[in-house]
Amino acid sequence: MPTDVISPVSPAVLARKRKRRRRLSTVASYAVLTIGALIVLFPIYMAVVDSLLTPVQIGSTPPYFFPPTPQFHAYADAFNQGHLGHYIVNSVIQTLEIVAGSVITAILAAYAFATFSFPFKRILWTIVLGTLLIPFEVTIVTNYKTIQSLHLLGSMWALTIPFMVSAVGIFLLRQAFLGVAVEMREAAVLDGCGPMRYLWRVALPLVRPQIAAFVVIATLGAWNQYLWPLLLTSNDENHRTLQIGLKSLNAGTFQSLGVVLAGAVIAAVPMLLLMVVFNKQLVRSLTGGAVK
Amino acid sequence: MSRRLDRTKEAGLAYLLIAPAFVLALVFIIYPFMRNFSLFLYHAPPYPGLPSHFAGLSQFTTMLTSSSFLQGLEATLLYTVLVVPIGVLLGLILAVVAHQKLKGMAIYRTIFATTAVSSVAVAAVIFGTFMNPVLGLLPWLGINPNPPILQSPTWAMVAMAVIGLWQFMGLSFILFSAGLQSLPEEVLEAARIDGASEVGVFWKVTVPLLSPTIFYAITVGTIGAMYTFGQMDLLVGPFSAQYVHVNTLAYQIYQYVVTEPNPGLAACISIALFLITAVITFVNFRFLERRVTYAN
Amino acid sequence: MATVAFRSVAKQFGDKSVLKGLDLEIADGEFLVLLGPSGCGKTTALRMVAGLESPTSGDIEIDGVAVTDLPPRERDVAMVFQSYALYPHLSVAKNIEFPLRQTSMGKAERAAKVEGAAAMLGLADLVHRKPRELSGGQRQRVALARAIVRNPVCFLMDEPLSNLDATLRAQTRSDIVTLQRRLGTTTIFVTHDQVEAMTMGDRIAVMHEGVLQQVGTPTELFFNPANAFVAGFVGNPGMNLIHADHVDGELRVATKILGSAPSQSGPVLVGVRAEDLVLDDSGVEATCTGVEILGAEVHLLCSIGEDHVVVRQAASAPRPQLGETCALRASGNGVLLFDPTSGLRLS
Repeated sequence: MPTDVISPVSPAVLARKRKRRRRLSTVASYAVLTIGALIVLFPIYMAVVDSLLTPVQIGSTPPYFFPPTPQFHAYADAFNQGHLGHYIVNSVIQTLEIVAGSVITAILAAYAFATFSFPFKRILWTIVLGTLLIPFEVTIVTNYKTIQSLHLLGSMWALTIPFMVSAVGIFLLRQAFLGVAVEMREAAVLDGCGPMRYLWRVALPLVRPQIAAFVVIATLGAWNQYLWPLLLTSNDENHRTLQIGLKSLNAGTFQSLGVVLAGAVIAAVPMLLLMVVFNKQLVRSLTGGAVK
Repeated sequence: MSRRLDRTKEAGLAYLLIAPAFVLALVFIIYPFMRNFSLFLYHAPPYPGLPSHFAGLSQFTTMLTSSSFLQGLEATLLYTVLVVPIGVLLGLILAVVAHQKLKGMAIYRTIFATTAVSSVAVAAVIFGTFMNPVLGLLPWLGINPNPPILQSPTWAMVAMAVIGLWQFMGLSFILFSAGLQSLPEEVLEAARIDGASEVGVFWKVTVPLLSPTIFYAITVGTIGAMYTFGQMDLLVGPFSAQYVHVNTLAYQIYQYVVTEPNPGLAACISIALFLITAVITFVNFRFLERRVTYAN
Repeated sequence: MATVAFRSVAKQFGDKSVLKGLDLEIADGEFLVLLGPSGCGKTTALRMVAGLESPTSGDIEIDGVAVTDLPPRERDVAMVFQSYALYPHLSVAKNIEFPLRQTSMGKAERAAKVEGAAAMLGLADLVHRKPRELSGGQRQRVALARAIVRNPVCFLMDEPLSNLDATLRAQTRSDIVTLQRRLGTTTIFVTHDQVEAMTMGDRIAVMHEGVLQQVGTPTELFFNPANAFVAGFVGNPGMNLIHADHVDGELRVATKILGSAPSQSGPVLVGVRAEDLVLDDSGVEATCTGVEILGAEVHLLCSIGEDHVVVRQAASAPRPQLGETCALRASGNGVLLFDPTSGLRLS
């Protein structure tokens, strides 16, 4: 009986139909994605291309979409006349200080909120959350004055101290610490382990992934900072960070767009590398709390 | 007895641990924020060094109705309206398309996420060179308006918005990619079996299930857009009359802190911007959050 | 109502072969159970009928028409998932209505059908609730209602009872069978639980490592297993399988006689049901490794060399202690012989 049931269409036709249907929606998907990717990548791509062109080539019409003879002197110029090397060092110091500071304060505060009970805990936590609602832009009026009166204007600390506390970090890490089973702490207490030693030896190693996530996003935020370094280093070349250095490069008297774009590429590459290497942590911290 | 001592010790340690964070937060976040509410009552002195002159709320109300504020508000709102909805939509669509199990999706996902990590300075510089009237790409494409884009009342903000959109798309994409990964695949399969087309599945099931993420993206995007500053400063600053159309409120705050110091006025604008954004976020919250469905 | 057929269906994920050439026909209105341990390919086979997976080769036919290229929405099948897959943002009523909204049915007609389906599954009081407000059993009924509401030609059920607790499971088992008999819809039911399979199915298709072992009625599978796997899998407990030597009509384990069988010779795998294995001093040596008291009945867990067997006997009968040695023999003629390497039935 089974053998006399034949499908009405021959297998060859069916196979072709199968391929065609699948190809259509796949083609559409790849088309959409490729167009999107081209649009997204185009600025960065052109920046790299232009940074490798001679000044003459940059201004020509039609524009070059590929450097025929890559010139690297734009990068050299960026470093030499643009002082980018100095600015990079400043940015690195600034980023390290901010990240180190905010990680430490976040670990301590998050640990306390997650593990201990103390009076006014809820109010204090609400205040922490409240600071999430206060964007930095509305604090610059006073912060500028504060830095002035603390006589910190001429130093790196002015750039970094205001950012050594991060409500986002405290939030992320508190969640992390809350995820550590209560029994762990109880076992530690029974073993005669004090709270700080417990933090150092037990809790911290367990929340390393979340700390990594926060470090990544704190690094990103610090490196890409614009407003505050602008405020402080517009007239202070010594402590200028890379982003502001890029601005001064752009506003400078260089005719060559190539040098400016070389500067942009230099400024962008570290974070692009960060994103590629630490993709998982970046995504985790960007969505922490928003997506379950 | 010892238990009470332990509890006191515990509380003491806790306070000690949160102290660094709190001190910094108080000094650099809370106090400055609060101080706005006293600063804004004072006019700037005619010469520095002289005491400020108490003006009460009149300074605030005058500012609110001033043309520069209203223009700034208009510019800021225009920017926000241009960047946020399109950014959310594009990020969502790209994330959905890139979520399929096809080859090379990981590469596309990495590419779309790159704009989220680029700084505003980098984005502004690159797009700025495109708009360069002599050497840029747009002139080659025939787009050579007079006045130049950044001085054009209609197009300046659009240009700024393109930069902001380029950046926001990346974040939006990351948020939705992560959101899609946590969707229960079987519910989508059930919808397909129940007869929904792919587009139907998207609108009837995927979008409702993603609504918490959509809501978050809109909120974060709106707040970021309302406070936008970087592109304006880099491409246009220092402020001058011809660039009125890109003079966002955040930029005005900066002006009154650095270029023409006027703490009272800066505080006024800070408060106004904060309240307006808060209201928008609140409206957002009430209107959208009700329609957010938590799968639970 | 329709027939469903698998024609030489194979599926590979990368270099892993999940289904190897499945040929199976399901009659119109039949309740067919796909039974097997996890990883045997039964869920994959089910999903291919739904259109959620495509075969690497071979065809799926519904009512004689090859549907292999059709997307799920054009196949007119309904599926009940193990996790129920209800739409969390929709109420019970809207969940049930969802499949109808994809058709051109009018609002009033849809409402009537939803009401009918809800009533059939006892959900009338819950129609306005959201899935997260329902218990597991209630959610499952919503999933069933959603499946029946548009009267598809085939129901596909992927272990729908696994997430229910034991008592609810037994009740729901009979509810599903009653429902299916009433509607007469062809049903393919996937499970790893052979009790479910035996009590629910018109026929059972036993699968193992991507290969169909045997398809038949519960009785056929129980009394006439085609190979050692089916024999050992079906039944509660499954058939005992003991390695022995067939010499001159006698089945011997280490010189002791287990039972007798018509002459063949060589090493064999002897299949004896638990109730056909008795304590007998003249029998094969065994060690008692466990005693399960089930009330009036007792299961003795013993080991004969490397083989583990279960002996069913009355609680009142004498039995060895844990760790003691005893002797077992196969009584009656219910002994089946299998090839020790291939597992195929010999007798």
